[in-house]
Amino acid sequence: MINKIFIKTLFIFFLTINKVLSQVPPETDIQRLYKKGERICTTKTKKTLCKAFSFYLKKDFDSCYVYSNKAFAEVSSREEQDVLNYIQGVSAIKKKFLKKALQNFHAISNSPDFKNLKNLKLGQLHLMMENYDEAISYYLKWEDSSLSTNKVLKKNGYHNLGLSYLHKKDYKNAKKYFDKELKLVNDTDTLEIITNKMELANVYYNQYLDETAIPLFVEAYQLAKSFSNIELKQNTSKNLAVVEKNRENFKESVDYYIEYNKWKDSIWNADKIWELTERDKQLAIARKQQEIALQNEKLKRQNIQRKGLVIGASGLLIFIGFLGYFYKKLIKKNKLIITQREELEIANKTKDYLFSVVSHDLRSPINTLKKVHNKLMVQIENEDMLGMQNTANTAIEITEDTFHLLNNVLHWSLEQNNQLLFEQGTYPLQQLVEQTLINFEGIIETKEITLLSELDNEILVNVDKESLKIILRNLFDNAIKYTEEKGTITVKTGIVANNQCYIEIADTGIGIPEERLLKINALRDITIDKIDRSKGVGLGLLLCQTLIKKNKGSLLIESELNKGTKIKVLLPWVSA
Amino acid sequence: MKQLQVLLLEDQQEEARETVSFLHNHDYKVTHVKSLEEAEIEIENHFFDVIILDIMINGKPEGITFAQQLKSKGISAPFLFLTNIQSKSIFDQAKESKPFSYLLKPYNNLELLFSIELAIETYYEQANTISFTQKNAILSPNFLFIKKGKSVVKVEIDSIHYIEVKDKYCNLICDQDQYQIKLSLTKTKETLAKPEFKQVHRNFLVNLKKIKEIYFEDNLIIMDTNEKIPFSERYKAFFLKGNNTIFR
Repeated sequence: MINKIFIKTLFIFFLTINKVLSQVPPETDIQRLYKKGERICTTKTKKTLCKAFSFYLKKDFDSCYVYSNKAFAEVSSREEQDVLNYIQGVSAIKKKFLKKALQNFHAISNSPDFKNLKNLKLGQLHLMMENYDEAISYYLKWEDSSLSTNKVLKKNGYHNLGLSYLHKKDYKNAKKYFDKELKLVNDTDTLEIITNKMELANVYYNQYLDETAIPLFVEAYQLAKSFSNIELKQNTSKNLAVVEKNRENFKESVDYYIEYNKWKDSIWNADKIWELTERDKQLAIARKQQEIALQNEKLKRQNIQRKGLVIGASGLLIFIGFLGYFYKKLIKKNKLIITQREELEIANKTKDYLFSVVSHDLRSPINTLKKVHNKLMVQIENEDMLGMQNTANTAIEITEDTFHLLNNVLHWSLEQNNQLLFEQGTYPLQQLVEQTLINFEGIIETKEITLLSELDNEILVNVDKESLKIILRNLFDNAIKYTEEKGTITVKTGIVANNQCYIEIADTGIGIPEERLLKINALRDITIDKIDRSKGVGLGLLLCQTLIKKNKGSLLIESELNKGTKIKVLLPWVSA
Repeated sequence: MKQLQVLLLEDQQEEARETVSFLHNHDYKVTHVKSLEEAEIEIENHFFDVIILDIMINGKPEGITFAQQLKSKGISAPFLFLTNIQSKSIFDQAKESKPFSYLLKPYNNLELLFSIELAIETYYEQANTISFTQKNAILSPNFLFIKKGKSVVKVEIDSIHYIEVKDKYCNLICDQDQYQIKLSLTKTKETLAKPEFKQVHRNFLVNLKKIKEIYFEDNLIIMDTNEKIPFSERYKAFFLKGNNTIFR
């Protein structure tokens, strides 16, 4: 019994349908399939499907399998799908991808065109997968409508059905179908004969008809030996090995086993490979998906990075802009501070100067004035009329001087604070000179100075009249102060070229030493801090310089020691 | 020849006294007021040719207030400010009332007279005229302001015999003297809105009341002073049409 069961497992072998397919009888299922394939290729533009089909016809099952896989993406109709499933299923069987093939054939519709082919193939597959009951049921379904199946397929169908029954130990049915097959077998077809003989031998052997069975086994083995089919060689040698072992001819048995193993090694477990590749594929897909996810993640991160970069860059730019703005502001502020400091320094020096003026130049004359008035009191008591007159004159003189100084200080400080009213207008020059000169009438008379005035009465000058009066007052004051008694002062006005007129004040006074004159001339841009009162450049001259400049004029000083000084003020002239 | 009427607003008694007496000696008729209220009464009741305003009256800048009042009352006259302080802040305030001149204290007599002249010149928009030379005059619609010595006096417009155009300016020939005014003929005609002044020649404007004889054929006008004025054709027809009551 053990042997019988063992044998049962051995009787699986595979039919090579491809050889048979080329012999096409008219109007069979297979032919219909071909026609459909051709029609699809001629009428439609399913290139991949066509390619797969053409590979199928060429029996290039590897390519057919690959292309049909791709072709699934472009099929639309049920019919196309069926054709594709069929050719891929066949290719899968060839490649021993049994499970895949099962999927394909199950996917085929039950239309009359495909029903037989589908049942046949499913029967074959289940047989290959050792599901004999199912194999039998599919084959029986097929047999019911086997009229349209071509001879070769029919033969194969009967063979496989017989084989299934054999495995199920239903020997009666097995024999019946093997006989049906044998009727269809062509004598020249070695493969068919070997297979058939082997199956028949099995049937007999299992019924313990050893005498009939063994010669058939040997015959099959001998035939297989000279045939190229490896599976056949393997099966026949294995059958014989089992048979010899059962006959207790162990040496022969071992020889047959060795041969069997030799053939077996050369066969791959293709189905396993298909599963592995399928798993590999799934793994690859999973890996690909993971990669895609990773890539997406990467892209996202890059996007975020880019956004961050852009935001960062713009932020930086804005920051730099702000920085620049504040820096500019700071510089402006600093500049302002510096100018303010300079202004403050000048103001401070002005203040210092004014303090010194007040403390020295004002204090002493006021003190003198007090003494003079005391003297006056005494003289009044003594009724000394002449003395009183002299003292009063002294008092007036001191007061005049001090008043003049005060005026200068006032104007200077107003000018420094930009508070001095300055409005240029057109005025008759002669009148302005006369208006200033009139203030000195008293002292000129007292000092018995001869005043010669040669004033042009047709000159109009463009000045701020109050500042011109301040200038003239200072110049007259100096001229009178430095002129000895009974000296001469000449005042002249006139026109020079370049739209300028002049006022010239010449005295016969002590003159200015050359050294000091140089100093005065050098100090054109004189400022308060450059004033050295001990050297005689006083506030009066400084004020003159400043105001003349402001009036767009200029000051010229000529002097000869002990002979006199000539001062010329040039001012803008307006023709009448 | 008439004296100028001067209103002086000054609270310093001593200074005012000096100023009044000086101006009086120089042919000005001065009305002295010590406060804003007095000044207001005076200006309502009398006409003044020049108004002199001390800015600080009793410690307040009432001089400026008064100037603003003049403007709001529509009283138009040359006025000038007297001030102690030559500082911008006060001046800026004063400037808004558009004075015609300033006078800084302490001022001497020449400066006072000069400032009055400046105020009149500025008011009538004839700058550098009477302050410049004696031969200049200022023409106003009713009077002619002229220099008499160092002071300004006014003369009735009627004393003008005729006006002769000389370049940019006009010569006014009057009863006793002749003056130059710094106005174009057009401006002069505009100012002299009275009908007795008629143009008889491109360069001549005559006072009809001062004409002695007219010789149409000879294109000649003989004035009362026996001066001969040319009479151009262009103005003859116009002249006749407008004056047929006299020359019938």
